Amino acid sequence: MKSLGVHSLSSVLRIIVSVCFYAQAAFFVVLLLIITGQLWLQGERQYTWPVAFTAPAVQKAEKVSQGISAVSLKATEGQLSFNGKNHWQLELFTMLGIALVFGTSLFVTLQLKRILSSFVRDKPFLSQNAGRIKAIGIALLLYSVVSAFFGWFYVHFLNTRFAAELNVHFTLHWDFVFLLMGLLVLVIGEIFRIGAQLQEEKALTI
Amino acid sequence: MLLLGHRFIRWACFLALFLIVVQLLLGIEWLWGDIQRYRTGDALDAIRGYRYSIWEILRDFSVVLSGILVLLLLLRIFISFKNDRIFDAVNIRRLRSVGWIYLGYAAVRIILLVIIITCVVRVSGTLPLLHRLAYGLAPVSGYVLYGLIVWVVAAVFREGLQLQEDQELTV
Repeated sequence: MKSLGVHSLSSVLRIIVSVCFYAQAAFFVVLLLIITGQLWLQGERQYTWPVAFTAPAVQKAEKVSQGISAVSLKATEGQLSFNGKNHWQLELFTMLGIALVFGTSLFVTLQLKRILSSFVRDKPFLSQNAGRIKAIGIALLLYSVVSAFFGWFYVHFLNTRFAAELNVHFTLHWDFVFLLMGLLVLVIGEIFRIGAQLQEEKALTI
Repeated sequence: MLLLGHRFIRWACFLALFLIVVQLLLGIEWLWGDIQRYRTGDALDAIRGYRYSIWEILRDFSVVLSGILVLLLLLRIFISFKNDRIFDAVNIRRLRSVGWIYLGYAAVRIILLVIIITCVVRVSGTLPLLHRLAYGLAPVSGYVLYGLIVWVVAAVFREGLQLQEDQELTV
């Protein structure tokens, strides 16, 4: 199977990335609708947050602080579930977390989709592609740094609100793979820029 | 061109090596830890016995081995950039090897996942829930995708090599 052009590996990947992009976008919209709908209709909603911690297998607490109840920590799932009512801090953390993950993911898949479209047209070395790849690299680096800062505040919030009642200690889980990937993608972007230069020089020679 | 310069590559290599060593140290924690402990976020680890830990050690070993191989190949590619010959036939082969390693690793993960699930079924007498199976398969599909993307990048490098050779012939 050829790698570039129509009916190639690139076209298969473009379809996969496009499906991922639209599925993510749809999921993001549905998630926002559910969150805002629950808040408007019920005033209270159930939160499920991903957490890393050191603790026994399952912990439960009926009420930890004002506006937070039915707290359950599932060690095997790495999840903290609880009900919250009119709590702006909970909403802020939920929205920021969702915006950070979906924002980066949607941006990266959109750029990938555009890059793969140019591969399908058999034009890999475009100056736009070099820019898109660099943008992906910068997005990954920013994600890595911002998620580390966000994670620090998130863990601090969890430890002040839930740790004592649940008898656990929440820990920061920072994945530096995104930092490495960002650097790697920046280098690939530079290679594409050189390729685009070669392509332009060839076009001028002809 | 500054990004591909000697200093950047050296620092990128050092950073990558430092981070991979940290990752390895975190990854081989089980060597001195309690092997039957619960690990957060991994549903299949909830049911675990010493008899079946060999498959988990193999799973961790495949992570480390494939990680080292990919890193070595990438380092050799980066180091070859020092010669200012970006598009090179050897680099294309290295990139294709990286793609194969990703696909091979995904295959190993699938085989080990099947074995671990069989072990879980023997111990618990029940089949893991579907979403738990999906949890185990999700990273595998990611590695297949990475492998295919690296192959496409290798094909782009081949195009670049042709352009580079055309330019050298023109000059």
